[in-house]
Formats: sequence, structure tokens, C-alpha cells
Amino acid sequence: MTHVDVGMILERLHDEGLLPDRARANELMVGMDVVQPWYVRTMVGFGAWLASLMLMGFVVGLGTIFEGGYMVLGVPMMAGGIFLRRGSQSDFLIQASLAIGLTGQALFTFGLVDLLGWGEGVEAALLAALTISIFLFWLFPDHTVRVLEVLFAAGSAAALIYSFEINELIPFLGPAFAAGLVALRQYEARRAAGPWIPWAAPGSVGLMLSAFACLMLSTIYVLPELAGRTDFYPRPWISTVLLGPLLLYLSARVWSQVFRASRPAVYVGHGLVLTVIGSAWANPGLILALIVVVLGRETGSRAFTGAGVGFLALFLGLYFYGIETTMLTKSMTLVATGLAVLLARWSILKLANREPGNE
Amino acid sequence: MGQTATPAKLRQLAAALELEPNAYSRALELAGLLPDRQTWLRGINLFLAALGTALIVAGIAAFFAWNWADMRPMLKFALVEGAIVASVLTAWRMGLDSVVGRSALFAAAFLVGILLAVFGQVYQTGADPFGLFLGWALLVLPWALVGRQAGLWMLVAILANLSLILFWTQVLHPPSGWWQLSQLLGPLVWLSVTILDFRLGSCVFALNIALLALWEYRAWSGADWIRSRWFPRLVALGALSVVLIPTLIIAVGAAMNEEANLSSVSPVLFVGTVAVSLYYYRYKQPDLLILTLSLVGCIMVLTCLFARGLSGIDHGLVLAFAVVAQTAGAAVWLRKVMRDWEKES
Repeated sequence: MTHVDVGMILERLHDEGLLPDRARANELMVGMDVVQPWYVRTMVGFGAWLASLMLMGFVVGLGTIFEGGYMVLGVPMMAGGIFLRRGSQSDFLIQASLAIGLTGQALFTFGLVDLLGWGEGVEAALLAALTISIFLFWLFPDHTVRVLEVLFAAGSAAALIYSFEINELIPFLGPAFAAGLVALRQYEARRAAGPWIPWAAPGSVGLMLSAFACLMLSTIYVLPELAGRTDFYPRPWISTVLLGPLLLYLSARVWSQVFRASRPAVYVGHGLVLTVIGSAWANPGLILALIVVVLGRETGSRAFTGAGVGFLALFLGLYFYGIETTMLTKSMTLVATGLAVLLARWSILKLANREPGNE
Repeated sequence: MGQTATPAKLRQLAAALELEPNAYSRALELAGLLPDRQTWLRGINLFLAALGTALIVAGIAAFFAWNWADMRPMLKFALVEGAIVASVLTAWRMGLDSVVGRSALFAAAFLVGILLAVFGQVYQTGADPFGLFLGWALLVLPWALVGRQAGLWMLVAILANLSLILFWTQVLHPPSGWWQLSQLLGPLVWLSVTILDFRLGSCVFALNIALLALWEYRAWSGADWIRSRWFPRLVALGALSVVLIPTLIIAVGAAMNEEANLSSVSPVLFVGTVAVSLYYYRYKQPDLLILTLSLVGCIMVLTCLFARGLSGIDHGLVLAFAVVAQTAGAAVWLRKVMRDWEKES
């Protein structure tokens, strides 16, 4: 990767009339702080989560003097966390605010279950957790908390669906998150400033992880006697059918760049994608992984590309490990798929090199 | 000023300047962060070549795992050896720096293991499995030396680790005690449990540190391909984990010290590793990920030590405070390191 200097880019923008105030840009560049990479943010999130568990253990260990007391205690803690985060720039206070806010959320949910009992209380608590997550996503001005809140909301929604035994909705959940992910990623790729930017970046990361988590459910084998009245992940092809158009939409943009004006070549590209969608009929996770790879590549995010490739390997491995067939059939399927992939690669490169103006 | 234009940096600057979407897009374009046609083609080439090769090699492995009784042994050998020769010829013909050449050489290295497995199937030698992994590692080592790719080195590293662990548990010290029941939970759990024995853990640690040191030494003066960071990061994670897990168990004060052969050697190695990595990856070979991993390890060990030393109702509060303070401290230090690197560059 070639390294391009920020100063050079500002100069060019100024020359092209896209940056009116060059002096202000210089000032900002000098005072600009470093941006933490994803693994440092993960460490911060892990620390906040661990601290909130300990804080919760402390509060629950103290006990309350009346029923539902944990709920009452949870509300000011959430408010305190938001207040502290809004008013602080110090790393210690930021970390403390995350721990306090997450503890408040957990206490409120736990208090509700404690008040209503483990029977009806669980569904009410899940509903409350979903609502609180949406509110905290909105109100808590922190990237890490917002990512976590999307994950909590997605987890609560999935758990509610299972709890209400409406498993038929499960195949719709992953594609819904994926659609949100694509929309947010497209929004933030086009602009750096805007009213929704503080929510778009953590929202897209949270939705990507939530979508993968949902589609991981499709790979779990549940014994029929444990599965209840309906399947654990009924009709996975619904997810494939819903994710398919998203992959077609994203890949269309890639083909238009790769094949430029050649309509037949673009049709070949669409044909290849449709073949992939058809092959992944029972394994929708593969389509999602490809969507994330394309999104990552399109927006220059190594974390997204890496996550997509990692999950692609995982879904492929789980699929071939899990299918109930002989090793011979698996072997033939794997070799045939591999050859098809190599053939697709050869065709794409051949068609692209036939474009006018290519070496 | 010399600041490199990363996506995060441009986004931050564009947000502060409230740049219009077209100006922001142009900035990304100038920085080479919007993929152009050539970038897409390079990506498609690499991705599909790697995926196709991996699927075919997995298919060949599944075919020989099927152990077709009616197939004559010579035909089996001819098939695998033919595939190896074809892969090597492809790698030679396409060049070791091309995507196809690299994929073909990696496939050849993987097929060597399948050849050894077929040999074991046909002749039923009764040899210990560590011999297969050791033989495999030694046979592909020359290709790793000339292959100019981190993937081949990772294969050698995995095979060397497996050989060592299996030699220890099958020949030197076959497992005894309750913890051998972990074999029932699958090979990954079993491998993780075996390295709790501090003697084996120390050997695995030494092996990975040696590989890491060798890689970093070569990277210091080496070619472009060896500057790729994913190999040293994974090896460093492995080496750190081997000494971190026993250290955490000792820190918590588990009662299985004698049974699992835990010893104070692991904590000493852990402290030494963290100290060296914090110095080396801060000053000699900048690597924020390995610094972060080292700090996460420290936070975990210190928190376990606090938890062991505390009792009473305020236990959770103090621990929460300790975790917040440690994580915030780590974040502050990492930010300072990033700023210093930026100034130095």
C-alpha cells in the first residue's frame, strides 16, 4: 500500500476549490488526535464489560430493601453513565462511565426478572432490554457502547422470537440486519460529516456482528426432541433469498467498474453471483460473508474484509463438516466447487482484459 | 507534517472541516482509498485463487479420508503424487510471486501431508502420529525457505507445534490423572489442556518465541513479503497464550496445581515476555496489536491477583475500579505510543 500524505491531499482539495479554508485545515491537522484502531476499542469494551460484571456483583451482593430495588437502582446508574460520558474527555472517566452505564442496564433487566419471577419475567425483561438498548444506542455518546447496544438489542430480539415460539421469523432477522448494515455503510462511505454519522459507524459494526451471530444459528444442529414444535432455524433458504438481492446490488457496482461498458461481461458477472446464491441455498451465512467482504473492500476497511473472509471460512467449514453425506460425496462437491471458483476467476480476468484500453 | 492518509484520519479531518460529500470522496480518491478497477481485479484474483485452491485441496483430503478400499494403493499414490508434481510445476511455471504460483506451492505443501497420511493408511506402520507431522514439516521446510510467503511458514509453525505436543504426550509423558478426560471434548480442547503442563508449555513457548525471533530478525533486513505482520502477530498470540493461561490459573489459586503440573516457570516466562514485547514492539518494530495483547494479558493477571487478595462485600467494587483504572491506563499509554510514532514518521 502506498502512503499518501494528508497535507498533499488538502493542498489538492484547496487547488480544486473543494476546501475553501486551507489555514483552518492546517490548524486542525496539527491538533488532530490519533484514532484508536479496532483492537484497542475492543480492549476498552472488554474492560468496561468486565468492570460492569464486577460492579453488578457488588450491587447484587449488597441486596436491596424492597422488591424491584435493582430496577430502581439501574435507572440512575444508566443516567449517571450517560452524564459522565457526555462531560468527560479523560480515559479513566470514559471507562468508568461505560462500566456504570452497562451495570445500570444489566441491573434494570435483572431487577425486572427478580420482580416478576423467572416465568413471565424473562419475556418482559427481554422486551425491556430491547427497548433500553435502543434508547442507550441513541443517548450514550460512545462508539463502544453503541456497538454493544446493537448487539444487545439483536440478541434480545432473537431471544424474544424464540421465547414467543415464532421461530418462522428467525430467517428474516439476519437479512434485516444485513440490509441495515449495507444502508449505513453506504451512508457513511459517502460523507464524513452529517446528522447521523455518530450513529452510523457503530451501528454498521454492531449490525455486521449481529447478522453473523443470527446466521450462525442456521448452522446449529438441534436434536428433534429438544427443538420444540418448530425448527430452530426453519427454512434457511428464506435468508438466502433475502440476502441474494443485497449481494447482487453490491456486486453490480463492482462489475460496472471491472467490466466498464461491456454489457455481456456484466451479465456474466451477474450470472456468476446468481450461481453462488443458488449454491448457497441452504447456507445463507456464505452470502452474508461475501457481502461483508465486498463492503470492506469497497470502503477500505480491513477489519470488515478480514471479518468477512474469516466468517466465509467458518461457514464453509461448518457446512461441509455438517452435511449428512459420505466423505466421497463431500470430496466430489468440494473439488467441483473449487474448480468452479477457479473457472469463475479465469472468466472474470479474461473478460476484464478484453476491455478496450487494457494491456 | 508527514501524516499518512488513513481512512480514519481522513474521516476525522473531513468531519471537523464539515467537508461536502463530493470533497470527502475526492479526498478518499486522492489517498487511493477508493478501490479502482485494478484494485478490484487484484482482489478478485487473489480471493478466488485462494478460495478455489483451498476447496480443491480440502476435497482431495476428504477423498483420501474416505479410504476407498477398492482403489489400488499404487493408484492412490499416483493420484496424490501426480497432484503434488502438477502443483509444483504450476508454481514454477507461474512464478513464486504470482497469485497462482503462491496458491499452487501452498497446495503442494498441503498435499505432502495427504501423501504421508495415505502412506500410513496403506502400510499401517503403527508409527506415532507425531512422526507424520514432523515428517510433513521437514519435507515442506525447503519450500517455505524458497517460497516467499507467510502462509507456508504458518503451515510449518503449526506442524512443528503439533509434532512437539504429540511427541510429548505420546512418547515422553503419556497423560495420566483426571485431566486426560478432556480428550473426550475434542482435539482442540485436548491440545489446550496438554500445554498446561509447564514443561510442555515452556517447550511450546520456546519454539514459538524462536520462530518469532527468527521472523523479526529477517524482517529487520528482509524483503517486502516478510514485512507482512499477520504471521508474527499470530505466533506472538500463541506464545503469550501458552504462558498466560497457566499464569491465570496460578493467580486465581486453583487447587489443581499438582495434578496439572503447573509451576512458577509460566508466570516468570509471562512477565519476561510482556516486558520484552513492550520494549521491542514499542521501540524496535512498531506493532500496536502485539502491545495491546500484552497489556490485555497484564490486565487479566493483575485482576486475578486482586481477586485472590480481596474478600468481603466491597470485593466487586474494588475489582471494578481496578479494571477501569487498568484499561484506562492501557488506553492512555497506547494513544501516547501512537502519537509518538506519528511524530517520528
